[in-house]
Amino acid sequence: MDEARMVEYALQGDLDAFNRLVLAYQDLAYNVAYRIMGNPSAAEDMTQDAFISAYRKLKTFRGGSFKAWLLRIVTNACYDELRRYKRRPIVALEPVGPDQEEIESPFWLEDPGESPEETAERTELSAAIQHCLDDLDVDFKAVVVLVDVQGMDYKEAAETLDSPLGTIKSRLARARGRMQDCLKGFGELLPPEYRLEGERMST
Amino acid sequence: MKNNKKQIKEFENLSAFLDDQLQPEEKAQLQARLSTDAELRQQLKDLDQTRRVLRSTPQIRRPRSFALTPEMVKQQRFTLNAMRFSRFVGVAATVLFAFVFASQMFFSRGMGFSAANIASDSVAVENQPEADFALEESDFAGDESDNSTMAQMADDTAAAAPEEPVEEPLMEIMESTPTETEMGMDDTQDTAAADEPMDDAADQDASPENTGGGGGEPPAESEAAPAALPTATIQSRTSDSDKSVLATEALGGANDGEAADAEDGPMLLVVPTAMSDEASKEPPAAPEQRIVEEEGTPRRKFQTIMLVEGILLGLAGLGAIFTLYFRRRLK
Repeated sequence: MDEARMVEYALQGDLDAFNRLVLAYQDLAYNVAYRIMGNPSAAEDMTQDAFISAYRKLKTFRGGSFKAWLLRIVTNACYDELRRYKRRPIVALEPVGPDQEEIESPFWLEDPGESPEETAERTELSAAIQHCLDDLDVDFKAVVVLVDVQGMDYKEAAETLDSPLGTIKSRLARARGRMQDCLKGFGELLPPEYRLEGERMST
Repeated sequence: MKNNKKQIKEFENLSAFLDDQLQPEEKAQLQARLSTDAELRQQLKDLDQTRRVLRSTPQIRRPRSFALTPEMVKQQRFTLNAMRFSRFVGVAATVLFAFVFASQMFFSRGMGFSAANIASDSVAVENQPEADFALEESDFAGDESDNSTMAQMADDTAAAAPEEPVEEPLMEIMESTPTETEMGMDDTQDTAAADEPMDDAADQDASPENTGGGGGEPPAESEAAPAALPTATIQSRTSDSDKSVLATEALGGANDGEAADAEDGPMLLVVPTAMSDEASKEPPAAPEQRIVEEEGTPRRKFQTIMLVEGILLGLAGLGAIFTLYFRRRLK
């Protein structure tokens, strides 16, 4: 797909052209929003808002990486929402069954293509990582989500977060150190191949 | 502290080393250290494992498509415009509040005259009984004279009156002018010099018959009492003139006896003459109206300012309520 051409068409009012860009990046945008926000409904709202905002601000896109530009809108939307959460904290709706017991693996995380063991393992790792991410400051969280969870390189992450490379490098190192400490706390709860050993690293 | 900083820097380099983001020199230096430092190697191993775990984070399946529909874009555009509008209203409300507050500060400082105004009014009210008392004294003097003479003089005056119907109330009003002198006004000569009828009135006032003529008529008391009000007001303003520039200007230098000047003269003279004219038509009410028109202008200005500020405050309050309500609804 020629992104530049799609952007050009979208600028002329072709919504279908823009939607091709949406289809290409919606999984990435949703996952970034999910990992930063920590809950699916907020991530859904942020992703939708970000795409609408991107369409509206499309004329401010000056070329370069559309992915980085789009993810900047996503992360900024998440930052704003998290700031609002801080001002007006909300009580999260925990998945609760008919007997009022918390459901560990809600239906929206279930994958019919996986065995129950695989699903449990995946969701446990995912939940452990999310738990540790939630404890990070939003600036550290965004870097580790973009670079480690989404596999972006430093340059792209710097462009997305509008920060110098040195800042990305130092924030990523600190975020990894804190994630390491946190994940070690899960110990046996993590699948064997993901268990971390050795001393905790405090940074 | 320094050691801690060094450790942090080293940890950052280990992290960047895993991503192959180190400069060649830094990379060579770190590799050299790793070959000799077992603890550093363990740190690198742990960090690599952490990185591997993070990079194996499962991707979450999105719950739905986020493709945009025309309605969504249109609706959002409206919402954004509404948000912008509400933001504008919010800023406008803030500016209005600030403006009203600043103007309050400004006028409360500049409105020393208004305070002086109010103070002088109260002083005027306090002085009024004294004026009344002075009039009573003069009336009392009139009562001492022969009643028949008074009646005769009243008839004579009535006979002379048709030619100058204004003269009689004017005389009565002018009987109150001694109160100025009694209350410390030094400008009686000014008023006398500036207005001929007043001169005549003063001459008439000097004879006991005339005094009796004025005092002989029962309405003279009730007419003269309100007529004394402006003079008392002017007197009290004179005493406050050092406090208020505006009050001094209103007096037109009456304090200094410069009423004969072309500029300042009318200020003093208009009031009693007009009062006397109006007093002949509506004796009690006319002087007070005149006071409000002539002397109450700063107060009216003050009231207008207060009214405008009240309206602005109301607008700002409405704007603030609208912004809060609208933004909450939009969110």
